[in-house]
Parts: sequence; C-alpha cells; structure tokens
Amino acid sequence: MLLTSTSFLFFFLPFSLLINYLNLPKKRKVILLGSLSAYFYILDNGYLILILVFLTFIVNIQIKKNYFNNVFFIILLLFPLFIFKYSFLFYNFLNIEIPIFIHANFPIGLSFFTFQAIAYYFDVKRKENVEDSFEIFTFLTFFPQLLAGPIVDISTYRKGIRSNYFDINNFNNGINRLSLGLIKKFLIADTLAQITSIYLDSNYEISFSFLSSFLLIFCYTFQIYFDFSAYCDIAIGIGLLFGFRLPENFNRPYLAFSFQDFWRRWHITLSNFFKNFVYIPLGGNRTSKLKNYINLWITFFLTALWHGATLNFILWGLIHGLFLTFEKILGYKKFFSNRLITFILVALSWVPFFSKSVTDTVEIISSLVVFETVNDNFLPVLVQYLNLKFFVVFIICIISLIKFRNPFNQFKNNFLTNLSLLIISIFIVLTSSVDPFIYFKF
Amino acid sequence: MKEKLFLTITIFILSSAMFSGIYFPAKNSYSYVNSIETLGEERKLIELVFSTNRKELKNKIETYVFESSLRNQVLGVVSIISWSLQDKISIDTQFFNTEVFFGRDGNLFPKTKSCNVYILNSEVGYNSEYIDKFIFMIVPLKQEVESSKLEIIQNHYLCKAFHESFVSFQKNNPNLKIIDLYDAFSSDTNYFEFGDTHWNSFGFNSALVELLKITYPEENFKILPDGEYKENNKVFERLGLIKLNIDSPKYIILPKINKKIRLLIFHDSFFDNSYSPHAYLEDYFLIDYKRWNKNLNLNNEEFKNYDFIVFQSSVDIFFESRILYIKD
Repeated sequence: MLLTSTSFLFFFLPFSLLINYLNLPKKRKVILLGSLSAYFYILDNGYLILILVFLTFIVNIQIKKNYFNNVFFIILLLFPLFIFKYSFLFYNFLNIEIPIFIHANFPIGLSFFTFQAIAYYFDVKRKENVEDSFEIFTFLTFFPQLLAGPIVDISTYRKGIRSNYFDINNFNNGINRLSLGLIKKFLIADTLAQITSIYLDSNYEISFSFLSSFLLIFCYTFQIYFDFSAYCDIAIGIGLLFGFRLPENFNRPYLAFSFQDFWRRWHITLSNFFKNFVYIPLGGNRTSKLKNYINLWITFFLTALWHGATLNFILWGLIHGLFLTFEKILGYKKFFSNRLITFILVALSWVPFFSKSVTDTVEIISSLVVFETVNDNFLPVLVQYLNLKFFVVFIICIISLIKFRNPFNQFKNNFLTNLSLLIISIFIVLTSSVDPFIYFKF
Repeated sequence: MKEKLFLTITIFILSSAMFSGIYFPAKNSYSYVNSIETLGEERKLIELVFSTNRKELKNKIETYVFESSLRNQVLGVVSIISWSLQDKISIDTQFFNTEVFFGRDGNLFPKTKSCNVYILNSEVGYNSEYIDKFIFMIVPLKQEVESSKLEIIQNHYLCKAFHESFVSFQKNNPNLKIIDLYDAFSSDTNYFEFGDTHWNSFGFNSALVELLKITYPEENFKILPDGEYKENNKVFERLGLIKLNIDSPKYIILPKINKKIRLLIFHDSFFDNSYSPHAYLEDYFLIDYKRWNKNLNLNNEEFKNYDFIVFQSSVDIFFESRILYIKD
C-alpha cells in the first residue's frame, strides 16, 4: 500500500491513529503496531511478508545463539535481496528464463528493510537492551518507513515504542510534515513526472536538442528530490503521529557546495549506512591516499549496485566516485566550493541514473550543445505539458535553490494552521492520480 | 482533553473522503482518472478487512473515495477556477493531468504520446483478396488542421511527424484507396468542435464527401448549410469538468442516395453516433460498424458481403499501433 494511496490515507491511517486513544503499555503497543504493519505489507505484497519473517528469524537466532560467523550471517540476510534483485544477472548469463515468481514479484522496500536488519545487528546500542523476536519484527516492519526508509536505528525505535503518552507537539509536527509531504509529492513531483514520463514511457528512438534535454534533466533532477523527500516527509510525519521521531533523510541537498557536502545532505540514512558498514571498515580515510581513493570507489560502486545491477547505475556511482576523488586530490574548497557548479554537476550525474541505456545517456548529454530543434522529436510532445501549473512548479524549483529561512516555520506548532494544511493537501490528493514513488523500485 | 480533541478532528478529516463516499455518494462522479472496477464485489467494507482477497479491500475504498460527493465538489471548484483563468492568460491553465491540452481561448487539443515519423516500407494488406474494397480514412489531429488556434509556442513546436508518416504511407501504397483529409481539411474554417478532439458537422460532412466520391464516383456531391446543432464537447465535459453550450452550423450533403451500397467500417470514436450520426449516414449507405481490434483478419469471409471496407482511424493511433493489425 503506497503511503499516498487513497486506501492508506483515508482508511488505514485514520484507523491506525485510534491507537493513540488507548495509552497502551509498551508490550501491547509492540503487538498492535507489528500486526498493523504486517497487515499493511500483506495488502500489497501478500505472502512476501515471509521475507520479513525470515529476516526476523535469522537476526533473532543470531543474537540469541550466535550460530553463524558474521560473513555467513550477512550472506543469509542478503539472500532474498540477491534472489529478487540480482539473480536475473545469473539467469541472463546462463540464458535461462527467469522463474515467474521472481519476475512477477518484487517485495517493495526489500533493500531498505534488509539494510535495516543488518544495521540493527551491528548497532553497538543494540546490546543496551534485548528485543524479543516479535519486537524485532515490529522494528523491521514499522509501516511508515517500511517501503523506502529512512533506515532507522534501534534507539529511535526504542524511544518511540516507550512513549506511551500522546504528545501534542509531536502530533502537530506530524500533521505538518505529512501535509507538506503530500503537497510536495502531488503538486510538485507529479507535475514534473509528466515531462520525465514522456521519455521513460517511450518505446521509440528519441532525439533531443538543448531545450528538450535541458528540460528533461531539470525535471528529473527536481522530481527525484521532491518525490523522495516528500516520501520521507510523509514517513516522518506519520512516525510523529505515533510518537516516533524518524531520522531526517534530506537537508536541502541542492544547496551543497561540493559532492562531499551533497552526500551529507542526500539520502542521509543510506549514506550513513555505507559509511559505517563499507567505507569505515575498509579503513576510511585513515589509510594511505591511494587506499582511501580505492575505498571511496568501492563504496560508491556498492551504492550504485544497491540501486540496481545495471551499467547505468554503475556509471552514476562512478561519476560520483570520480568527483569525490577530484575533490580530495585537488582540495574541494579550492576546486569546487560553489553551489551552482555542484548543482549543475549533480544534475548531469542524474542522466545515467534515469536514462534507459548508456547510449541514451550520451545522447541526452551531448544534445545540450545542439541548439537546432529540427530533429528534436521530444520537444513537440513536451510542449503539450507546458501549462500554468508546470510554470508555477518550475519557479518553485528555482526558488528551492535559494538559501532562505522557511517563513512557515513559525506556524509549525499551530494546530489550526496545520489542520488547514492537511485539508489543502487532502484536496490536492483528491484531484490527482497517483504516480508511484521513484524509490519504491529499490 | 485538548489532545484527544485534536486527534478526533484529524481522524475525522482523514476519513471524511471515504465516509463521504459511503454515506453521500455523488450522483455523477467525474472520471478523468481511471475508475476502479470492483468486479461485482458486494461485501461490506468491514467484511473485506478480513478478506483473503487483499485487492478487493483497496478497490472498495478507492471506489468509495472516487465516488464521494466531497471529491466531486473539490474537482468542480478546481475546474471552475482554472477555466475562469483560461481567457485571461495565454497559457493552458488546466490543473488536472489529462489527455488533452488547451490552446488559444481554451480550444481543446489531444495530447500525443510520441512525435515519430513512421516510414513503412512494406505495403499494407496486399495479402488480402479484398484489397480493392479497402478504403483508408486517416483523420488528422485537430492541432494539425487548426494550428492557428494553438498558442505561439505550441504552434512553433507543432509535431509534423504524423503528416509525414501519412505522406509516406500514401507514397508506399499507390494502389490503395486513401482519403486525404489533410487536403480536404485545408481551408480556413472549423473542422473540429471547440471543446472536443473530434470533428464538427462540417468536418464530418467534408470527410463523408471524400468517401462518397469514391463509393459513388458518378455523383456530384455538395455540402450545404442545414441550421444549427449543439456541439458535443464531450471531451471537455469529461476532462475539463464543465458543460459548454455552443451552437455550431450544421451541414447536409446533397444529393441523397436511393440505391445504397453496403459498407463495413472499422472505426474509433470519430464514427460514434454523437460525432457521425448513424441515422444520417443511412441516407447514403447500408453500414455495419466495428471497433478496431487486434484480431482483425483481412481475409475475413464476411468481407465479401460488403461493397467497401472502410478503415477509419485517428492518425496518431493509426501509425502508433493500428497499422500493425493490417500490416503484411
């Protein structure tokens, strides 16, 4: 069930909120939230809930009995991820047809909850307390962040589950974040998606010129940000409604003044995961310069692979690895240290991320120097979508690149303001059709 | 107490769209986005919560929300606001994501999914023994015929690919009877309805004359004014959510035919009764209508019962998909 689907927003969410009337003790809250989350997952994924049961079982048995060595344990946890996300490589290599149960099913959020299970086991704070198996299951399946993160650590969960009182400030902030997330998703991201989907849904050869290529890159750059950050706002908002403070995943990433800064602001929980579980164990930056660069490239290679085992994602990861290496070699403060340059390079790096092939990547980027529109067969289709709503969204995107203090922050704790925002966001949901979030496919 | 009140209000607001659908369903719900099919599901919502068929619960809730009077009211207000802005600004003010866009003064045009030239080297339908009976009536897009009603940018980047595909189709199939509506719709007049992507009475009769020229070559047909009619503007009503009331000149073709020939028409919405009145067409032909479908068999035995088989299609869909149904 998508967090923006009508069945979630107008049925599942209000009924789940009834929990807040009950002032439940911790144990009952765990059972109720776990059951609700399982129901939430089953509604869309059916028997694939067994993957979450499997992960819970493995993590629980390892904590209690310490059966496996760490490498084998991680392989076991990654096994479902490998089957559903990467096994196609082997089937293709061996020229065997992919079994239908793999081909037709992808457990939504698999990459996220697999990583959460790994992070949980290795979290040093885990040993401060002992969760029973159902509590581990509730932690892994907690529905606001189950499908696309943010990846939550155990201390966040423990604080939330212990809070058995209804906190009005949390609730107020929750409504605020939920409403803003819905507005960002339906008004901004989905309007930009109309342009990008012309390319993504096309099944014929498209040729571009500067104008169409620029608009496509611009739209995707902001779509992926507003789409994913909207999802995180919604997840964080819903978390707050239940007393959980989920971690922030974005901090205005397009205001970064270097690639290093960008990765401190973009998909923060995933960046932290790779930093803590790949980069630092490899030696991080406390090694020789050469080894440090190699560590960086390995980390970004794996980050790319996490998004998908395609040449395009690997190219995207390598571009980021390359720029980070440049920054380290040349000293990023001297070399970049410029918001506009960083933004332009980050925007260009999205091209291999979204394009359908490496050839398309080259075509889109090289078209940025083609100013003649005669052979452009993308622009005539795109022009049909350039309406008032699009131009308003375009201006919002430009404004989002300017650093300023959010004028609405002062109203954040006003219930009536938040209620009005909620009503507006519901009206926007009612007048929109739902496009799935980009990050669900990971 | 205050906390519980806040919680209650929030739950009420969130669930209002669904309860509005259960207790106050709209009489005519708008359907500009895909409607949900419940496949005859009669069980109540509470029964479906524990159903093993998990899709039915979601469908049921979505049906309630889609059919709610609250949603209808919101859609109505938004459409009135955006339409009221349309004649004040030279830009499409449409708020919803639909299959159409607005040009100058709110003229409605269909969005195309592609702008690709389809060059077809192999001839069409040559393996059919009925090839001499085939007539192709490819209808241009409204924006190709009435480009002056587009805004400047829309006109500047207007897709020329479909016309090029049509020309190539004509050139590669010199022995086929292909009606050139690009040529027939070339004078500076209205061939399409204002708030619709389909032809008006003049456009329909102009196309019909071209067909009559092939089927009754000995006759000399003329289009004459015949009062007025209310434009359908159905697409605008469905997607713009506002009913337009526009009177448009109506036309008639003379002479009428006494000894009529038999036609089979494979058609899309252009030959629906609203846009091509079937009773009026009976003055010229004995017609059987069939919708385009993928299982079209060009050697169908039925074809021998007809004098002509007409393949009518909108140009974009013809080259994007329908051509494949009849291609060798």
